[in-house]
Amino acid sequence: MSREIDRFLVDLYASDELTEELTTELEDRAMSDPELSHDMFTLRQTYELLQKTDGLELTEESSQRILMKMRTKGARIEQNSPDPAHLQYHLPIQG
Amino acid sequence: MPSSSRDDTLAEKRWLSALARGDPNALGGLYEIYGDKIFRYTYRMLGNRADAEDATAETFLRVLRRASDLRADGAFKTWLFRIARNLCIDKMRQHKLLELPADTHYSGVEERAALKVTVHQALDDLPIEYREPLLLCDLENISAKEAAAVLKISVPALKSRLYRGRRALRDKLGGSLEKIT
Repeated sequence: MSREIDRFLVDLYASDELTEELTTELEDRAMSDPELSHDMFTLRQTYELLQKTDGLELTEESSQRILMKMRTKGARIEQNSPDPAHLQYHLPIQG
Repeated sequence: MPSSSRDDTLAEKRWLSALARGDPNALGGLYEIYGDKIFRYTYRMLGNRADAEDATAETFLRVLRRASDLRADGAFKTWLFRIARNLCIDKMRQHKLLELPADTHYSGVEERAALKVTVHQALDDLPIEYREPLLLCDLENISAKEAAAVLKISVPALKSRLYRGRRALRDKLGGSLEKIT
C-alpha cells in the first residue's frame, strides 16, 4: 500500500474514524513497520492531547465584564441565574 | 445526541423565539448556552482575555441586532461562530495582533500546567488555516459540517486542513510529546 494511502489512514486512525476492521489491519501492519507505528502513535497522542486541552475558561469576572459591555451598548440583559455569592453585596448582620 | 446537547438545542429554540418577541431574558439565555464557547474560541483566536471579552460581547450584540432575522433551524450556532470569527479577524487586522506577542500565560489557574501552555503556544504558532479547524473541531467539538460552514469551505477542504493541522501541531510539539509517554 502506498505511503500516501497510509498517511490518510493514519489521519483517520488518529481521530478514531476508521472502521474496526481497518484499524486492526493497520495496527497489524504497524507491528512490522516502525515508521508507520510512530506516525500512528504520535498523531493519536496529539489528537488525544487536544481533546484534553481545556482551560481558557470564562471566569465570572470576565463574564460580568462581557455583560457590562453589552449593557453599555444598549442591550437589555436580565441574568437568568443569580450572581455568584462572592459578587453579591452582603448586608451587615445586625444584632 | 447527548442529553446536554439536546437540552441546549431546545433551550436555543426557546430563547431565539423569545428574542424575536423582545423578551429581555432572551439574550442572557443565549449567552448562558454559548457565552463560554464563544469566549474560549475568541480567546484562542486572539490570544488575550481583554480582546476576547470585547469580541464575545460584540458577537452577542450582533445577535440582538439581527433578532428578527434569526431562526431556530439549527444554523444559529454556525452563524454565531461565523460572526465571532469575522470579529476576530477584523481585530487581528485592526491591531496587527499577528505581529504582537500574545498573552502566553492565559492567566487561568489550569493553564499553569507546563504542557497546556506548550500546547497553546504550539497552536498559536500554527498558520491560521490549520489553527481554525483544530480550534473548532478538536477543542470545541464542533462537527466537521458545522466547522466547514463557519469557515465557508467544503467539508473535504475542512478535513484536509484538520488532518494537516494535527500533523503540523504534532511536529511542533515534538519533544513535549515524548515527555508525556
